[in-house]
Amino acid sequence: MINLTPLFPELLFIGFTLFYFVLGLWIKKRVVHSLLVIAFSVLTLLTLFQVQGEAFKGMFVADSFSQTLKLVFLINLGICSLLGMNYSQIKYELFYEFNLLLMLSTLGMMFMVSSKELLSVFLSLEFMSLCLYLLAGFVVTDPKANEASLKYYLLGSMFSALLILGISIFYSIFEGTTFKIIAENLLLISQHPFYLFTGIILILSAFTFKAGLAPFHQWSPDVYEGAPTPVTAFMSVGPKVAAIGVMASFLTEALSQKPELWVGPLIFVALLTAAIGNVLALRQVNLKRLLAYSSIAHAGYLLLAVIACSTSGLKTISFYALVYTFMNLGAFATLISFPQGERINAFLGLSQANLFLAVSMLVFLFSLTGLPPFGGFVAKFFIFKSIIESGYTWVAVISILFSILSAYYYLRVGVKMFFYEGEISLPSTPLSLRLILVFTLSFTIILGIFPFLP
Amino acid sequence: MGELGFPTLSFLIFFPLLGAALIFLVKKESLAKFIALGTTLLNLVFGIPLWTNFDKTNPQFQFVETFWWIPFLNAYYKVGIDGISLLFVMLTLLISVLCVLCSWTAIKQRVKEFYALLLMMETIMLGVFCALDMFLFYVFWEAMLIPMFLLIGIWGSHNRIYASVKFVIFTFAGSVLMLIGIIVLYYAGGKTFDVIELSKVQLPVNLQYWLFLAFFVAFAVKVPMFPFHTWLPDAHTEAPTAGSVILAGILLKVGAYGFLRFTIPFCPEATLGLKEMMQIISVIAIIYGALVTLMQTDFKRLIAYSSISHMGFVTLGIFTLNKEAIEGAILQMINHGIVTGALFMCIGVIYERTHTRDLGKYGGLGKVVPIFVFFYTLFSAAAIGFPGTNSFIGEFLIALGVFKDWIFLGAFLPMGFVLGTAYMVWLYYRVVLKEVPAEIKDQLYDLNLREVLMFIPLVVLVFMIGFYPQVFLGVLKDSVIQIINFLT
Repeated sequence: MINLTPLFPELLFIGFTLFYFVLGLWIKKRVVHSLLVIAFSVLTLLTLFQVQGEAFKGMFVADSFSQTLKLVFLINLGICSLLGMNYSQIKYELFYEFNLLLMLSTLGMMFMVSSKELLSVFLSLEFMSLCLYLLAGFVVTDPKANEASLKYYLLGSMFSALLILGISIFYSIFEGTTFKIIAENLLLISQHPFYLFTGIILILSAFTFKAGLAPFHQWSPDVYEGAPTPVTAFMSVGPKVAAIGVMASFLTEALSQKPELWVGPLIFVALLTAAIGNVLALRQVNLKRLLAYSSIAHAGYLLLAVIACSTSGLKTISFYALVYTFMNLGAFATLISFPQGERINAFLGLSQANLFLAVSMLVFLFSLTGLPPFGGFVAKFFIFKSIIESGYTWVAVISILFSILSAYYYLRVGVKMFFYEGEISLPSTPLSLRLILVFTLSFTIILGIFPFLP
Repeated sequence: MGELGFPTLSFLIFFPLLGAALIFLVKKESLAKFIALGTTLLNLVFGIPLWTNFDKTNPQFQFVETFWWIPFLNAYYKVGIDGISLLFVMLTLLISVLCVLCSWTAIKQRVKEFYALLLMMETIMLGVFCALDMFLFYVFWEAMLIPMFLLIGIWGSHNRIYASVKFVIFTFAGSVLMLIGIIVLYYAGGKTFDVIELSKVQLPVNLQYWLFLAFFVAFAVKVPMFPFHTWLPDAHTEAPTAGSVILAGILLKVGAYGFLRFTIPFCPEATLGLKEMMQIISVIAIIYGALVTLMQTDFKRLIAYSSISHMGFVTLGIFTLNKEAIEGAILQMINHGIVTGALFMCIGVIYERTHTRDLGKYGGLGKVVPIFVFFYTLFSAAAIGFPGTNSFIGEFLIALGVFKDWIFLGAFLPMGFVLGTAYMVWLYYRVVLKEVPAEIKDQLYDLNLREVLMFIPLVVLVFMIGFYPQVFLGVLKDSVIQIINFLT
């Protein structure tokens, strides 16, 4: 008899999804849809930390790292469903499909971070991505959204092929695909190390693509800009965190004995990502696109924690992911509550029109910059701490210098909101959006003053 | 707990935040300034027991409070003061009251936000001077940017946006390297952020130089020392009066305070090794700053540039590393806070009437607004370092220390004094003497009671330090000896 207890949250969530799949067809009101999704996520959340252990002979593991990331995915799901409710371009009758795709994609991510076996990683990754391809093109009438969807789908399929190629190379070397087998046989292999290196590079480049890291990041600004804003918010958190999470557990569990094979390329990728994300964000005039580039830069910082390659490194990643969820979704929520458009210049004088909206945006931006007393600062602090602990002080120095650039482009938005006069007449913010803002705002601040790791 | 059986320091630090919250809770906008004044005044009163109960003979940190904060990081909420911090805490408490007073009529729009930010600023500044944990210190240090950014950017004059962004970028760029320095220090010093513990650690000399560099950039931008000063004239000039007073009075001191509290105790060998270089940079700042000041035609910008020269004296005193010079430097920081703060307030008062800062449009104020000129003359004399005023004592002590240490460098100091006198006297001539231009004559009227009241405490301090500096030097003495002991 297989012990299924570690899977309980996932099984419960599958149950909820199926329930919603059938029942959702008869629900008319948008609010009920969103409330149901939130209720499902909260109920799953409650069971999340109750179970721990492994199933399927160690192919599925629920440890504190994967649990924290699942927490991130479920928060992401709840908030993005509410965001979708307030987004006028998502058709009324399609909201059911929207929620369902969000849930299915979240399910894929949950399995992804718990898989300790390459083929299950591949399957859950595909499961997640297929839903995302659909979501990216969800507004059918918008040519930009169609372009985004197609671009994402074509490139995504190519990188999936690379991933499966990498996995088959691994199988031919180790005659197995679980992380455990790979780790046990890593030092014994007879093949040329170049062969293994090729496999590693192929697998890592697929993860790199999914996480939107340089040099495979080009799709993400276009897709982020084209996709409907709630979907962009969803994509900027969930899949990114999932891909980096699985990368971290793959590298630290399967390949930890040969760090010389992957630490170098990883540092290169992380620094390149931080550089590209921050430099290209400088000239953006569209706030959504700016947030896309900034999320590329943040993925770079997250990746830096992977090179620490220790338990403190994993904790750092989960904390950063948690804080990032709140501040980034908060920024997107502000963007959605602002119907005047996505251009930065549209924000002129927002502080006079709606002080609450402007102040919360400012807090999210400062947190993204990494200024205390907000969560973003503590998260960045942990990252640099774990890098320095593992002896790569120079990497910390270079990446922190890039964060100076980020101060400039985040400040630019703040300047537009606070220092200019403008004539904005805002409709009052809907209650649900205000709730999201209060929720994300309070956690951005609380995690900054009393950082704790679940 | 503090010595008084009550968390005195924490109360002082966070009390202004309560005031800020109250401002937002009270609906009426016109009450905001009264709440702010009440909060800052009360906080000043609460600060008095600190001064009276401070034990001058005890060189250790006093009123220390420690609370668990982030257990797995080994970071504590730890605050405490020695003689040096005590002076800065008192200065901050006083300057905050004056900031509210000098904005009384000048701020007409978004009043609530303005006073709330001023109060937040007070909390953060007090926190910086009291923090005894590197992590806590860094949190306060960086948090300072946010209210200051908004104060300059929203209520500043026409070029405010450029100035505020430049201010934030410069200081942020300076301090990120300090963050790396703090983390490296954390591992090198046995996984602790405790300032007292860390200063006992003997670090390898090589590492000390790197740490010195990391901290130096952060502090040098804040002071600002010579090559890092370009943000200062813009920020000071564009900020509203209260913002300039905070910048000149407190913010510039934070950098110099950092040198004393962190750089010297953590990296003594590196400090000794780089001493001459720091001294030379400081002398360049004194002379260069004074020369640039002579060129200015904007009233406020002139005073802003004079800060560079004055802060040059401070850093020169600190890096001369003997008792007289360091005592002089600390006293001079207080003096500069009082005098330059007062001069910015003078400019604020007169700008409210004439709405111009162009020196070409001024002249003959002595005939029109005698009470104003009375105060202005006093503060100008103090800025020059006239005997009997506070700056004389500070500059004298610094000069004494420098001559004892390196007589060749001391030879440059008279040049600094002469240039300093030159720009202040010339400014005085342009503003107070000459004939009154017709266009400002009708707009001028003399000080009212509020404005007189806000200058009086500063005048008292100018002469108190000038004639009886022992009150302040006595508080400092043992803490300074403590710092010098790190070097041997």
